[in-house]
Amino acid sequence: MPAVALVGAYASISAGIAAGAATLLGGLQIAAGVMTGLGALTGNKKLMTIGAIASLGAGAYSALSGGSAASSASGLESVGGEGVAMGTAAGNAGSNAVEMGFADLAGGSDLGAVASGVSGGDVAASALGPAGESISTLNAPAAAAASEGGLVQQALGRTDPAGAVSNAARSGTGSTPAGLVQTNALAETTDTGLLAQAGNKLSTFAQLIEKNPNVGKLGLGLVSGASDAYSEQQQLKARERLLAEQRARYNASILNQRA
Amino acid sequence: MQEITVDSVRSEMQIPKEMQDAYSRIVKAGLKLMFDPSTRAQTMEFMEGEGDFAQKMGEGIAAVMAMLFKESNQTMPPQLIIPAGIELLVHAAEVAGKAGEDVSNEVIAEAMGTFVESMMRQFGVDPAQMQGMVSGLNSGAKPQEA
Repeated sequence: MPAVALVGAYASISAGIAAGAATLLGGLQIAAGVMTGLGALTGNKKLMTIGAIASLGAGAYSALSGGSAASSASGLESVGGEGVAMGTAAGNAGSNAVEMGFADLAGGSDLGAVASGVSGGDVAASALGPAGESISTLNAPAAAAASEGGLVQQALGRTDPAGAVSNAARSGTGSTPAGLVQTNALAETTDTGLLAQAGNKLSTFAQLIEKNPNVGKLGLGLVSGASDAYSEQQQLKARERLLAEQRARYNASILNQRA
Repeated sequence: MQEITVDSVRSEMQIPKEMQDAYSRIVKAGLKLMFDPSTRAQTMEFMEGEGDFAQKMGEGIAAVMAMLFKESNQTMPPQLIIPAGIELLVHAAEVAGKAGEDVSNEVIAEAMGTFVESMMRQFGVDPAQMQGMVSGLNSGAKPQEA
């Protein structure tokens, strides 16, 4: 396979991969028993560290994935489509955090994420913006604000030329009204960090596989078949959650007016 | 967990019921990618090549999972990537063991750590952050419930 095509393949891998950072880390919990057990059995520090992270739960993943500043266009789906962030643990942040991130609108190169710790109680946050719309479709900053509890968390995003702005305001793990909520502002283009990392890490074995013309005939699409149903189910759940949250917000605003 | 086998690993996995089918399919596809008669030669070529065996195994499985993710049009549930990859890794270890490779629990552990770290990097998570987080916890910082 020509080098350019290979790089292209890695780009697509990286872009999709970056979208699911927090979800990937959710998989640590599934495998936590295996890793912790084997880590303890062999004294492997790497596994023990990972096991410790797994035990922290969803909040740790949020902190990790937010701080790492990954981005992809598909990551936006979780912002607009689901709209509610996930819990965070103290971890290295030490507290709830207000995080603001910016993706470079013009060049997508000199990007940075700013995070500042703010102590505060549990808060619930909801993303502002029409249901089902992502930042890329809005093409404007999106904000996630705390609805109660006093801690405001914002994530501002602007699209880069490829629309690759992401925001890890993901729901599904610990995003209850009373729980901690964190919106992660992510800012890094795929053509710099992630792509290079993926390319370096995967090149050897991936190249061997890619060279094999029979790989396409293996019927690996069965993975897609399995995932499609799951994906639809998740999207449906996400929509239901969003509707419920909208309803709650409307009700709250009406109740406030009456009061 | 004393003996690392495919069965022991799978029994330790806490796979949500609604994901079990997808999980099985991913593992099956991964096995096909690694050990189908049409790809086995490449797998063996890679495993028998130069470099640390655990490192190769971990990075090789990471490549397999990335390939599967791509083949699924990125619809594969990301939370299954690490668990399925771990099971594939143990499959690969068993095959390597049968082929005469000395695959101890320590080697599997090292390969597993390499695999997870590799996947994390690809997803934009810096493993160094993990170490920092754990250090913070060890120093007395108290995590909040998620």
